[in-house]
Amino acid sequence: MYQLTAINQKKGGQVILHDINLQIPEHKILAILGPSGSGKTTLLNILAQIDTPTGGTIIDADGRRPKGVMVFQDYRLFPHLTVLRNITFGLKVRHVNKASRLQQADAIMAIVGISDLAQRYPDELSGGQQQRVALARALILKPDLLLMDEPFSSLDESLRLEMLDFIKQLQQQLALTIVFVTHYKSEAYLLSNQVAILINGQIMQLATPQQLEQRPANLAVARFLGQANFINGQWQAGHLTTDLYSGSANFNGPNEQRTVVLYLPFSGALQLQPTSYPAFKGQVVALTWAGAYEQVTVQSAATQIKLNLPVATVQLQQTYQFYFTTIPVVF
Amino acid sequence: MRKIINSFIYVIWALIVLVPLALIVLLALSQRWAYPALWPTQFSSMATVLSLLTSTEVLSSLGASVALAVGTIGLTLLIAYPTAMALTYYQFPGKKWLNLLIYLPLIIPGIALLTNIDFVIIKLNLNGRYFGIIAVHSLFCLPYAIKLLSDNLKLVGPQYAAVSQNLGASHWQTFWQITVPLSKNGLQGAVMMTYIVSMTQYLATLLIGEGNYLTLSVRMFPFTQAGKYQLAAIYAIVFMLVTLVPLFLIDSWLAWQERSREAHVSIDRD
Amino acid sequence: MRTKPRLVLLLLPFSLFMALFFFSAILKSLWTSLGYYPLIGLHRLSLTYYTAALQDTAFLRTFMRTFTLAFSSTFLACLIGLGLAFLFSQQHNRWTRLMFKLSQLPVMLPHIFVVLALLQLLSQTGLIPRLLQRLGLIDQSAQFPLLVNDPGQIGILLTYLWKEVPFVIVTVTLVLRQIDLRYQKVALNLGANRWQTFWHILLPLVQPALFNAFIIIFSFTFGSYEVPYLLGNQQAELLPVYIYNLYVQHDLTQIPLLMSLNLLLSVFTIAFAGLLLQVSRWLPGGRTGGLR
Repeated sequence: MYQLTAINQKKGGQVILHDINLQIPEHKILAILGPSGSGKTTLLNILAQIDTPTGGTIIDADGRRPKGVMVFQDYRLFPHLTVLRNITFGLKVRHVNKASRLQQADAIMAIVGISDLAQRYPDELSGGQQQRVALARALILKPDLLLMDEPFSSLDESLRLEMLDFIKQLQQQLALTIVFVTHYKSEAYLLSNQVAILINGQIMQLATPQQLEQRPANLAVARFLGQANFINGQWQAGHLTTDLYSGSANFNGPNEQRTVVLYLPFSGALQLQPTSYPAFKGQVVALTWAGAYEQVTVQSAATQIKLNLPVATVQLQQTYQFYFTTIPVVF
Repeated sequence: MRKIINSFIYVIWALIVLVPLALIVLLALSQRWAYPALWPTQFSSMATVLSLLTSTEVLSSLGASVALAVGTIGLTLLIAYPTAMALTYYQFPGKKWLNLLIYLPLIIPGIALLTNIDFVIIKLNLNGRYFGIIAVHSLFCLPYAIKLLSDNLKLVGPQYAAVSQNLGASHWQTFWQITVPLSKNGLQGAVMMTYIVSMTQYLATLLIGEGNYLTLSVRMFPFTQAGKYQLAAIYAIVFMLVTLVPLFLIDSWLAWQERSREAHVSIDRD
Repeated sequence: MRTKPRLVLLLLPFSLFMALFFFSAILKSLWTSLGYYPLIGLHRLSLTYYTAALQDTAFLRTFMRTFTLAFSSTFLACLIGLGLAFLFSQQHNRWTRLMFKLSQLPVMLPHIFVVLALLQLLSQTGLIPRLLQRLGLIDQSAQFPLLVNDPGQIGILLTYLWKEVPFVIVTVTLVLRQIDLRYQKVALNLGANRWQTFWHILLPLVQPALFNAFIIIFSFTFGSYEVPYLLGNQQAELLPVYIYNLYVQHDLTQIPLLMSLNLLLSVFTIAFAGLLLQVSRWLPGGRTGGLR
């Protein structure tokens, strides 16, 4: 367990990170998810000791500062060095002798699957190969934390899935502690069971993907995660009033707020089977097949909402009574 | 400690660069500065200095310098731009060699090249002529101009030209409305470098020009040799005025433009 | 879209220009040097002038002297320029920017500028001897060592350094700015210290540009006329002055010999530049640079 306590970063009068308190579990993957400009890379740079925070501490169970090695978004393989020399660079500057360097490099290249590339130069490699080299260059140093900055953003779709799998497998094989940042929630969900949401330099929520989708901590998180309907309404004495639905709800916003937003994620918020939370009557006005589910547009009074429902649950132009799966959330 | 050493080096370096320039200004202003005086014993009056600076000789050599520089810039760009485009956007056999060949005028010793070329210039009946001189000046400017332009074109890439043609522009329209404006930085560099190289030429101007074009650099030479430092310094000052001042102004203007552009872009914290 | 005819059109101006003003000159002097010079009734091709040139001890001595001066001044300029460029790039603040701006000044001025200043400063009646005399460190100006028009070529060396160190600074700084701090950050993250980062990463990355600068400066100092003419010593003549004097004698019978000297020197500098490029390619970092 690595503990980040009260990490602050200011640059030129601008607050980039605000009071970050975060626990990084050992031998697991932690995803830091946030929009661009949220301070993700700054946090990663601090973990890598490339940046020094204006305040705060990072320690492990013994009170030591963990060593973080970074895999950069653009890989930054040294262009003038071969793959082998790139990988052994960290050992060389630590004055590890040559035989040991080569031995360790052979081992790590075999694990990462780039043994046949040892004598190539970076500009002779594909994007996926470069990423493997960058991984090997970091892993050979046996870092406490393997840090990855937007690791998949420069890869094309098929390669992205392959690398995602590969890193998951690598993490298990070597019991790595990985912290990676991304602004794609799909990547974060696929790779990690612990996702920290970083918005405007603050950790808004640390939860599992499922918890995030169903119970976002606040409106900022909900809006960032997207894939949801946001319906404006009024909140008074425990009662919600919107054009779509009026009744009880679970209020999650700041105190004494009158104007509120009803949060209805596309998936999992509504169903046709009756529950104790009847929602509204609505007509299906559009239907799009999307493989595992159907994307349904429902019209109720003047409001249109989108829902992802199991295939063949509803039919076009028909009107249905919808139910909340559980008490709806209001921010 | 490190900071003190650094500052010390900064000061020494600034002195090394600036003292010669200050000395030249002093020389130009002094009437008498003979041995063993450490400071000019008598300064020229402002009127004298001004009349020296605007004498017919000075003005005519300034005119000659600028005329040659402008012609050299024109000729150099005319040749360098298409060459840079070919080297950046096309693949052809011998490209590697052409890339090396471009530097030959800088690699072959100047004196050998000039005495060889003087021969040919006489044969072509261009000796003492404007075109002959700007051709030889251009020979020394082309390596820099082609390098600066092709580096810049590489940075811009061919994709915008492709878009322009896809939208229906002709080659000619694409060139003038897309390629040239996008390579503004490269052009700027090439023009500045060509200007400097042409202005500072001495032997080429003298040998090929046969004394018909007495530029600032050429006029300074005999005065320096004859120990008439004050007169040489007057030419040097004019030289500074027409090179350093415009280049400095262009540079500051560009920096200002850059800054005002940056001000519109918010700081991305990632 | 990228068709052959357009390529030909683009390369045409350069080819024409080079053919007219460069290759014609080289070819002409090649014929002349081989003894074909109808103007003075020479028609037979031979290598006499080359053998004569290579046996001319005065020429060879001048050549060695010029080579030594050019090489040492270039080497010093690169060394000092590299050091200062790194110093000025370490931090990005007002002062380092000012230093870079200052370094651009000498690049824009002709050599005769420094010559003029050096004469006023360092000649035996110059300002520095005057100052030393005033301070009582020397009795009379003749005690001050001869630094201009001296057999040791100190004046020439100083002039070239004043002009070429800034050239190296500008060249190297531009490369360093391109590299940015990107690779430095990686190296530090992987555990390298500042010196290791410099030696293993930054130096190899700027090395090709440095070698290019070396070639350009060496060729220039090797073949430039004006500075040796103004600051040189008659007893220790340098090649450019030697050749220029030979040329302006207007002794037509000397022309074939002169042309053979010219071509020998050209071949030499080209071969030397080629050698340096090979060394640069072979050194760490050579794969990513060169005269490309």
